[in-house]
Amino acid sequence: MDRDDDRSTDMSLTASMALPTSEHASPVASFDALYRSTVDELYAYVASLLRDRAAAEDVTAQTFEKAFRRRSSFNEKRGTQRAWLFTIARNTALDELRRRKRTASLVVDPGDDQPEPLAPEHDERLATLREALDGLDPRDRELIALKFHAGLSNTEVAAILGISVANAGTRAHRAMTRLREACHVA
Amino acid sequence: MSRNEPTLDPQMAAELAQLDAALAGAPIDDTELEALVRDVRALGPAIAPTFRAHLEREVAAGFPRPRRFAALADRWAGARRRPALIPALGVAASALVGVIVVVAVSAGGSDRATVGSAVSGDAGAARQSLPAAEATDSAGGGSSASGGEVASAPAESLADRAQVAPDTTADKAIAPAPTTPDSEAPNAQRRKVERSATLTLTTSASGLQDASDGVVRVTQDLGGYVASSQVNSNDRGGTASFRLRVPSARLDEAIARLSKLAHVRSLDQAATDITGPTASTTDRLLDARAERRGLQRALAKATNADEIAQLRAQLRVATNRVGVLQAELDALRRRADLSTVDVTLTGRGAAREEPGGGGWTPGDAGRDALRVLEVCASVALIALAVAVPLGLLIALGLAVARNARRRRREAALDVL
Repeated sequence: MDRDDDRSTDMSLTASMALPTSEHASPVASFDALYRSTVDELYAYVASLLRDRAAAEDVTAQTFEKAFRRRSSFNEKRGTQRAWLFTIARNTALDELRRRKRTASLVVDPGDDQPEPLAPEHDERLATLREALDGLDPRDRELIALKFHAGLSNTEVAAILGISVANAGTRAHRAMTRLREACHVA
Repeated sequence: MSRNEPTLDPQMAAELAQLDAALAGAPIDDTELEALVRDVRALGPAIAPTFRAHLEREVAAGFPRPRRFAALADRWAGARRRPALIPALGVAASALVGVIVVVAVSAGGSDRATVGSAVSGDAGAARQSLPAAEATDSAGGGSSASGGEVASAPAESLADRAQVAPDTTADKAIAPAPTTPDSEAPNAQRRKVERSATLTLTTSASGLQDASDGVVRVTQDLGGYVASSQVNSNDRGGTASFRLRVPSARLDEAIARLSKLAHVRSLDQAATDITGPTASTTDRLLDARAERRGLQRALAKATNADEIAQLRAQLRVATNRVGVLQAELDALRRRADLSTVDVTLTGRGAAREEPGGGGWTPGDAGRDALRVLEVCASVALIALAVAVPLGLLIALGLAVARNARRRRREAALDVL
């Protein structure tokens, strides 16, 4: 795929607009921009992976702290800042999983972020989709989170997972196919 | 994408392109996919406002640490910003190991026999070997190589052997000493050891003659003599070989002084205990003399002509035997009293005339500088020999650890 070959077009639109280059901005300012452009997506990814709000908050905070402390070690030749950040997030989340060795269902705090009331058919569709997502293999679910919530390209996904770009594309396609099938079955 | 990386199926690639477009918010033909993207994103967990506020405060403050960890963290961060620090420390440690090894090799290259190159700190110093003395008969045993004669525990009948003096006349009588071990003098207990040494020296072509003269001078100073010598010289240098005979008691001194004449390339020493053969020959000589004395007494008492003739014939045989044994004993003593030193001098490089006499010349400075460079190169080589395998092992260990950590993380996904 041509888009996957060109690293300069890998970053999503929101990230590229919000993120100044490290050459022209101070490290603090560029880190702040990186934070603001990725915090929601990163939290959504981590929460999808861990399925535990408290753990997701911890991991999100740890990820940004680690990224802040290691910001001088970032090497543009090895990938984008988003890929670098989400790699830290993934490793931190997996370390958290190893530490806890349990699966917890996502806990929704009542009253803080209740979605707006939707049409009944929309609720049913979302419920079907949620059920389909819960039934996916954890690795497929992670792929979905990286693509949908984080908005990462196949090249960035490949860098995070430590696989080839073609392999990342294949896995993403397989995850999408399984999700669609699961939605149709449900 | 690398050349060897497999390419995606065109249909798969097209579907992924459509997904990327939908994720980017671009309009696509597949309305179902558009809806799926929208719905999955809608299900994405959202940050709680309280947590967002806390996180923004932390980011604004730069994630402040607890005070007691701040200094440690700053030092560690400083070390990590200097990526060359750790390899530099490793190289310095390896160089220190190299210096220690070079010094140890140079110091270990000298022993009781001494080596001149050890004094000069040459890394390519002399090679020495001191094989254990060999027992030459059943009575003899091993001996140390510290002298031509070595004090040892008293043995039976050694006293009388030790008192057998060199006999220049056939009629000289020697009274054997009592064989009581307790009454033996310390000198009588010395063992007989034949020592030898092979010394190889290298020098410049112009220094070959001076070194050769030095060999002869040292030998004569120590009371020895040059048994044989051969000198070959040409435009590129030459060689000189000597067989020296020096008093065994001064062998160590001879080797030390000879070693200072030129660069020692190798030194081998050997020692052979000849106490057994010496003792055996002494015993046989005493027996032969006793037999001769008996024959002389019998001859003095003989009255019969036939008996006298017979006794005289036996006496001649006994006298001959005494002479042969005396010669054997003298030869054994010479072997113990005088050590053989084979010296080989090699002159390298084109012969050139030195304008000066013995002063320190720029050439000497150049040679000294070259030697310093040789030592530095040796240290660097040893440091490299230590650092490279160590570095490879560390790198391998880190790679294994990193791989293991990655596998453990991936395995955590299976727990979900």
